[in-house]
Amino acid sequence: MSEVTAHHDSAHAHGHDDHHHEESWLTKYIFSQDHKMIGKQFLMTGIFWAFVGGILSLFFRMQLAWPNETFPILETLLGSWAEGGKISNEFYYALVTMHGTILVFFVLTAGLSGTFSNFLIPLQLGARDMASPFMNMLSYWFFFAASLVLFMSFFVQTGPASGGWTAYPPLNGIRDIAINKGSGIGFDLWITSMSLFIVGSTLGSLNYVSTVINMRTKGMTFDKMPLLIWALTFTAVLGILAFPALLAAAGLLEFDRLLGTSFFLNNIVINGDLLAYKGGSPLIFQHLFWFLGHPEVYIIIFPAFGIVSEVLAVHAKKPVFGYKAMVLSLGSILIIGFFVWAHHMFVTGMSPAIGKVFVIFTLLIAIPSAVKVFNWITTIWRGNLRFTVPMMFAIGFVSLFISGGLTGIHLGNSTIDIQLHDSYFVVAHFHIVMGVAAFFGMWAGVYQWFPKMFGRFMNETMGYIHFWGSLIGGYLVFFPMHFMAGVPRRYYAFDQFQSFNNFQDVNVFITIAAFLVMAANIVFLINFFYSIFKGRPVTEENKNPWGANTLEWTTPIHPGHGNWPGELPTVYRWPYDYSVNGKEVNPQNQPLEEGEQGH
Amino acid sequence: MNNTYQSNLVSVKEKHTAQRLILYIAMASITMFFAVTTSALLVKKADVLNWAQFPLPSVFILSTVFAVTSSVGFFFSYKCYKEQKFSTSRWALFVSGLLGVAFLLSQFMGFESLKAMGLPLTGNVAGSFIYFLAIAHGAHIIGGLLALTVTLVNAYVARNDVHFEGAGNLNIKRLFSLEILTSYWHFVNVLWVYLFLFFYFNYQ
Repeated sequence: MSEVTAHHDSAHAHGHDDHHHEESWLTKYIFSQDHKMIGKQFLMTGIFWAFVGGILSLFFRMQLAWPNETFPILETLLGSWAEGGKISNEFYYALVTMHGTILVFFVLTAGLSGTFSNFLIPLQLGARDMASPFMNMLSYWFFFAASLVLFMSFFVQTGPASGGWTAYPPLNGIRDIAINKGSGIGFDLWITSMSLFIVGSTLGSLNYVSTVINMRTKGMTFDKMPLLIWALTFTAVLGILAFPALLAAAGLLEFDRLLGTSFFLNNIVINGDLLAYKGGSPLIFQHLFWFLGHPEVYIIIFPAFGIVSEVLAVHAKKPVFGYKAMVLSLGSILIIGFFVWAHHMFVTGMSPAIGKVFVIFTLLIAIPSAVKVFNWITTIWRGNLRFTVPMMFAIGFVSLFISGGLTGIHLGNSTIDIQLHDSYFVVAHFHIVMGVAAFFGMWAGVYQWFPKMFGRFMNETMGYIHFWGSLIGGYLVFFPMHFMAGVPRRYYAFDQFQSFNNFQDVNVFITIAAFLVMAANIVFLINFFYSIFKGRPVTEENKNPWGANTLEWTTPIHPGHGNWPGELPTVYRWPYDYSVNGKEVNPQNQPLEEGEQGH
Repeated sequence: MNNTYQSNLVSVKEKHTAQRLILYIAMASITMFFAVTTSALLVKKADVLNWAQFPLPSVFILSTVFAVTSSVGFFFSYKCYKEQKFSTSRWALFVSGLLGVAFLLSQFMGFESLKAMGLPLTGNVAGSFIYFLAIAHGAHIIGGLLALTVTLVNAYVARNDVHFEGAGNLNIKRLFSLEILTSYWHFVNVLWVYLFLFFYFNYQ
């Protein structure tokens, strides 16, 4: 037998190192396999979609505030969808559907976890890159393809999907534009886009988990990982296990629509004609949808949890309070989060006994959530606070998470939820707790890591304008909605209903506040792009501008692909050694002093 | 100190361990897809008024035989490559691929049998679930067959590689590809065995 020779099983594989060849513009900026560039691609695409989604919301807010007015500019912008300057009822529903889809999936999933998982997991773990940089690149391009397909759906003749971001059948199960224009090709494109998105999200998540488990640098044991990495890992696990349910639901729904099966449809009568569908159950779709849909809110909020934990500790110069409790809380939310989905379905005629189980699990989630809030507050309690822009957004996040979280306790009770279901109270709850709060987490992250991403600083004054405009505006938009607990959420116009006319002034107020939020975010947009090119440069003296302990600040100002020239850093201490040894900052790669005990 | 960036300066072993884990987590994700869909089937089946009773087409037994033997073929191919019996390894891979194609054909025969029983795709939802699950599983088999084709072509092209196969030495990279493909193939075949047993106990 010949001798086994494993030529490539040497300690290191050579031949493809970056220093061996120059990267082209295309491979550096477009088809990049560098996790940092991919993170920035996710961020840029997320920002684009955030503005598209935000503008759509302004259109439908104008309709709600001034249902009888006409705005010629709307016809100029939207053409036949706003004939005479008034948004059509069909397009109104398309606007809310696309707003929900874009914000939930493209902005607060891809734009948030996509950006920070890619950018920070290898940097904070001391890794060269992800486990599979190629798969990582693919994950972005699947997301990009999903974006393109959804964007295209705005331009098809029958318009984009308009049956709600939850895509419930039977409305979305029948491919007949006579029933609903948005149920035509627009919805097929919606499903195609979601399927591409799920593939991309899964490819990314697989990589994140494998990287965290396998690619940590020397000394980076699990108990020394920053809380952000824990949060991003749990986010990925949620996505890996929950998104398949949406894929299954989408597949079954498309079989009903295109091939004529009856998974979700039964005895449908339209204009007196009985359709051929028989024996299906639309409720099964709801179960499948919410099996993803509820964990999805944690997919959105976990990265914000992680970012805020980092930012609060860094800018308070205090160790994070209750590290283990924070990790355990994330883990408990992850597990319990898979057993609460049917609290979205209390009004479907569910057995009260089963409803009770979902009530108990839902209320149980309040415990780990409260632990986190308690720990954030205790972390900054008596700290040496720096009210920088990222810190302001992190504190704003805690405020919003408490405000929005408290109403979750109301809605988690089936007896109360049955009264409040599908009302503006629900809109207020989820927008504050997973919409505005998640955005605050995202902004805190953008301001915090902008100097690492681009080697420049964002303008602080503009940052404070952005913060106060968004905080005040966000509360002014959504807080009044709590008082509209009896007003149904999906009506096109309220002026035809005597009982809802009382809220007309509130609707005008909310719409004006929505414009304020958009104005604040235009300030952000200008600041963001201006600072990329003209912001104050980061120098060697201030290359760790916030005084953080985590490893990403030990790289050069503009790190190349591979992150650290030469050897990878070795970790000796946990990331929260703030204000110990007589020093405010003790980076993780700083060896323990003589006689010092590690955390 | 070396001041160059060495993005790929990661040990092959470390890289393979990480990529192996990616596959295992992907398997968990695929398992979730079939778990939720078969759960949906059970929920629907509880609605007895709209659930047709019929026996599972016997050709699906043949599918199971193809799946199991194809997996055995893959195991044999991997084992032979490790033992530097490269030609036998290629042949075993080729035969496993043929068995995979035979599996897909037997699935189509199963669909024809369902139609003959009065259960076309658009018929009773009890039958539609079999079509949906088999098609979703078949898509995973097709993915595996595409990867198999690439691996086989690579193995054939490399048969005279003077550094490796041609000199009687195994190539760690190709061994790893084969290992990953073999694991995936076993997984999708076990998935079919699960589906077959699930159908068997729910459709008699």
